[in-house]
Amino acid sequence: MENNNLKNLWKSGINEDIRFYSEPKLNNMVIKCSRKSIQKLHPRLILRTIIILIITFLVWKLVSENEGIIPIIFGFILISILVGSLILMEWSTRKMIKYSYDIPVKDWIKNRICEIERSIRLQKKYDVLIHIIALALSTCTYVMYIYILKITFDLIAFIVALFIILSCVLALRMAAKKNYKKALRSLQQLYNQIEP
Amino acid sequence: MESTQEDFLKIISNYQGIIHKVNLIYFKTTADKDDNFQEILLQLWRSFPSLKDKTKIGSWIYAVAINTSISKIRKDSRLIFTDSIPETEPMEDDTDNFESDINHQKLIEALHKLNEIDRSIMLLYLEDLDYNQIAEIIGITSTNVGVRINRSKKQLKKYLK
Repeated sequence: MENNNLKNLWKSGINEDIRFYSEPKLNNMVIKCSRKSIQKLHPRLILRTIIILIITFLVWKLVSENEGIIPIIFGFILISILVGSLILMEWSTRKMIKYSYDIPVKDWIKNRICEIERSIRLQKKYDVLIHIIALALSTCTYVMYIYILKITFDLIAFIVALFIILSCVLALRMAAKKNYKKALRSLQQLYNQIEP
Repeated sequence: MESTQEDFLKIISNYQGIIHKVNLIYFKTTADKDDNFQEILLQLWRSFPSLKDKTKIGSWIYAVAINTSISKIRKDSRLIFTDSIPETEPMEDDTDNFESDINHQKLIEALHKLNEIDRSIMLLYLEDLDYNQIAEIIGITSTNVGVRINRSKKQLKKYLK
């Protein structure tokens, strides 16, 4: 097929195939986009607020009540873990904001492969830490819960709650790992199309 | 913020054809096309503040649209590609137009059979971008672009026979 024929064929019906949006509709879509852009940050904002609230509560409890050396050490460890996880979260958010689509296709695929490989490496490296953070968070939440409702500590309920939370975290992490590996394979296939 | 939104709207209004064309070569159903249009718009909106060279708006939109579409097509396994030619609006009784439209649809079907990268290269080629511009958007050398275009043209010829 001649070059021009192919181009003519493409141009011959392209206008029939496209439904151009009117300016008011585009305007609505742009408004939705700017809102969506903000909404995507909300789940992190909620989690961030919860962690900050727990840290504040633990600091307040540590300062106001003198319960001996062991609770103080335990409190310090919990606060350190929570502050550490907050810093990690902020760092990953900054990374995500930097992540852009307006680069050449090859660089974009390469960047994504690097990001996913790094995430998988980090997941392996911090696997135990993530479970400890989940345990610490659930312990803190339980402590807050019994403190606010002024109920007595129930060891069985506490163990059951920890078990449920840990199972959920484990299931979520397994699903995430599977998704990461699937995305990585798919991106590598794409990259091989560019650099066989 | 208001003026940024107005500038962005003006650009999208003038260049929306690019997004529709990228959608056309990657997606078949109207729902997927609309969905992807919104996603591309979101990514363009996010990267709009970093757009420095206003003379390369077309290239910027192509790059974002192709990257977003490839990302969606790969992660969205629910996409079902039908082999049939999509239904078109009823046309006037004009045999020449009818034949050219059928051929045009066949060309789109044939483009869908290429891999994602070659598909995007062919779109840019059919849209009259030169090899250097295509190379810049895809991130490969212009020699490589030439080789790929020739190879894809042969494949398309085979599919269209």
